[in-house]
Amino acid sequence: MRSDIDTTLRNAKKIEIPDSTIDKVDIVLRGLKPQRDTAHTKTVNKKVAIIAAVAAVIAIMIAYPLLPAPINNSFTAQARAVLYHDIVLHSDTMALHTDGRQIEFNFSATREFGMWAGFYDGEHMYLSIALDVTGENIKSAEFSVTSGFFARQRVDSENVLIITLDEYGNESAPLIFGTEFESLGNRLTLEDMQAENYSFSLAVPFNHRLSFGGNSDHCLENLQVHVDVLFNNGHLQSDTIALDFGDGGAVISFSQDMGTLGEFSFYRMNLDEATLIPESVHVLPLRENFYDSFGRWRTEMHVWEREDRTIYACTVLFRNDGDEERYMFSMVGGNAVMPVIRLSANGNLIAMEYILPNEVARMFREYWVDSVYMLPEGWLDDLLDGLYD
Amino acid sequence: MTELVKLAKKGDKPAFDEIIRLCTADMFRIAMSILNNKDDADDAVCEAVVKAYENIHKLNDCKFFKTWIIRTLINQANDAYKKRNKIIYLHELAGEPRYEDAYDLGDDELSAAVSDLSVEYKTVITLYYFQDMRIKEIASVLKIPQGTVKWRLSKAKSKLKEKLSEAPPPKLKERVEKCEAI
Repeated sequence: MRSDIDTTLRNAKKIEIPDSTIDKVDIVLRGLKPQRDTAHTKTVNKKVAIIAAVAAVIAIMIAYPLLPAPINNSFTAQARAVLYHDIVLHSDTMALHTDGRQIEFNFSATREFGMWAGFYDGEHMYLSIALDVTGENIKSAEFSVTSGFFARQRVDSENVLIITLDEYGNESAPLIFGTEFESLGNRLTLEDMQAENYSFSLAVPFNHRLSFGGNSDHCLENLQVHVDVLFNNGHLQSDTIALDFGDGGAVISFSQDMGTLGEFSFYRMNLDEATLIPESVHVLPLRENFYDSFGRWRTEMHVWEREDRTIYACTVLFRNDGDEERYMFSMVGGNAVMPVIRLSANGNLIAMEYILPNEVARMFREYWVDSVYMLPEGWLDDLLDGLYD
Repeated sequence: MTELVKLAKKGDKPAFDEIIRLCTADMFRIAMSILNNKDDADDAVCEAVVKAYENIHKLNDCKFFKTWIIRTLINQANDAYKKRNKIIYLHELAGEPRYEDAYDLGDDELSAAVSDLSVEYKTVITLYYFQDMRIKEIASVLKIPQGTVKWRLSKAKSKLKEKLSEAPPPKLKERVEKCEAI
């Protein structure tokens, strides 16, 4: 059995470098001209600058009583939540000075296409978040929220799935999924944030009943993140960062039934092999779009309640190629149950559930982590072509 | 080293030479990990040395000299890599020289897997594991957020695991057949 990769990497030995490399560097060093003259000039200039600065300080000290309160400390706080695909919500907020004057405030939310994504525990959606404070003379900083809470997960855990976005051109916004969240309460310090091997999330109250649509009510509650910054001189400054989640839809990963990774996947299955649950058939009461369209695609996410369960299903309608259906499995009492949505001739969406064959259920249980795609070959390419055409 | 850097900033050439001699080995290994080619790595190191000499007076904090010169080196190596990427060297196809010429992992398979990682992953692995740099330092060197460094490390390790796994995951049909067999 191979030893742990991490340990092997840590134990790597540095090999002696070739003499020829050392010789080449020596040749380069010998070729570099001394910079003493320049350095001397710079030293003289530096002296002049120092004398000027001292004179300025003396002048300020003399004029001090006539001046407004001096600016001693400053900080800039930043909050960032990560969205599905390459959308990042930026909230760059303000520099505050010790006189309490607000210097600047800049809030910008970028939404191109897409939706929020994260683990859903039934009440909160866990969004990866980056919080940062930069500035001078900062002793400590603390973030807090009045709604929702902070959580963290170990990124090196086997049960944490990191979905990369580099294929979408933005590698700096990894999506991190998993269910092993450690709640940190409603306060988080800058020191906490700097802990290695952890990814931090903000658990945001999420009302899935309201909407999955891009054209309807908010499903994620807008939040305010407060930041208190303590400076070395004892001054305390506070500020608030607004996180506006807008009206976009959301992809949630819900793995309570799965007992494994939070992950969302779409499947196609031959339903002739599956058993329809007759009592599950009903016309969907709500019909809302994730996004109205992207290229030739239209995607709809639906949610309904049945027997104490919330059911989520996604259907993608191919405008040019006829109607298609995609589904997400869930495990119910040992059965793999698949919600299905059909578009009826009169335009209604009919929701129903199927129990999948046992062998598929076994496969599902065994290979869930790998995510079994049963979509037509090349569907992702088609999707991306549609997006970027 | 900080004292030497202070002297070098003032134009003390011997002090600068001494610092570079202290850093040359690590610089070469980092360049080698990115470029996988000794001559290119030598060139990147030499060019980084020249740039460092020309710009050392701009260095604000002497204690960050090594971070600063490694950043310069990585930029240099990345530029060289991009320029060179369109050309395939025969000796590279022949498998030499490789990552193993900079670090000995004591595991040929793992070493080859590291060598085959893309530059961005290889760089964080090199800095974190082989150069013992902290996440914060790597973020500073690469000018990327700490979260991105963590993610790249995590992703790099999962890629290594993938490469080292004995067999690729079975296709769906094979899975169904396997399940039926059970």
